[in-house]
Amino acid sequence: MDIQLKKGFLELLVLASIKNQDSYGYKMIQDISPIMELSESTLYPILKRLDEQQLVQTYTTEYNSRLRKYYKITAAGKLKLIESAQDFKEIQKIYAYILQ
Amino acid sequence: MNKYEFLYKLGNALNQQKRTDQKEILGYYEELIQDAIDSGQGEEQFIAKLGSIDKIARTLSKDETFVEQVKTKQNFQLQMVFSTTVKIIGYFIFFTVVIVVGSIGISFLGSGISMFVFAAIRLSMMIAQTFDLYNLMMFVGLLILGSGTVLFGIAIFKWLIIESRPRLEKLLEMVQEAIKKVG
Repeated sequence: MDIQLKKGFLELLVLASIKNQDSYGYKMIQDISPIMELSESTLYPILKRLDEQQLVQTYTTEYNSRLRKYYKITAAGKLKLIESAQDFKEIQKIYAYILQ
Repeated sequence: MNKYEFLYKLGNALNQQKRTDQKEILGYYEELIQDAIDSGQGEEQFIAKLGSIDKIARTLSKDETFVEQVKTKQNFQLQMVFSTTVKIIGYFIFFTVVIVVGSIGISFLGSGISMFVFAAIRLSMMIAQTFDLYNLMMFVGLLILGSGTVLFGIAIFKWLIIESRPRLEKLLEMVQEAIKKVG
């Protein structure tokens, strides 16, 4: 898959993975990998970008006597997911044309 | 390789890449490794699965380049991010500020050079003719003041050259936000 296209999808997949429940890096990789290949070094910049765009918020909590960083989707992040659903219809139309 | 060796080597590899936030990346990888161990994976096997340190550093660096392109709007599509109205207002404010700050810089640079040259000439003339302690102190002071003023002028220009582009982007974003609020 085209790298830019993949980057866009991965951002959405990360947002979708925390839509219902806050999550952390390791769990996100476990959740997303079956759908799209995602390496640990690919996830970090995506999380950083989403954080910079304020689509996610981070917080740390204690787990097993150590700190674990959690990611929580923001209202803007949820909006981004809703917008992506609208993109889906357009993408479907584009592919219907490409593959005709 | 165990966790500590991995983090040490990764830290060294990231040192060469100034733009990456080394501490944050190391924290991220440390947490990943610990979570993998807690989930029952072998420490060394998981670290081996992460790939080579060089590859990790390269991947992070490649993305940094992309983020940098986003920030500097080098990507063609990203140049379209700001509307024409935002650009007109933004560039108008930006060039007004550049002209004002540039003028201040020029005046500091010009007056500094004048002071320096004047003091240097008078000082050399005075030394060649008669020695006068009060005049000596005055011209040496003027010489220092002139140098300081020149340096201040240079600092203003340096600031303009280095800071103007990121400030312009910030300004365009602010204008865009303001237009969104008004509209």
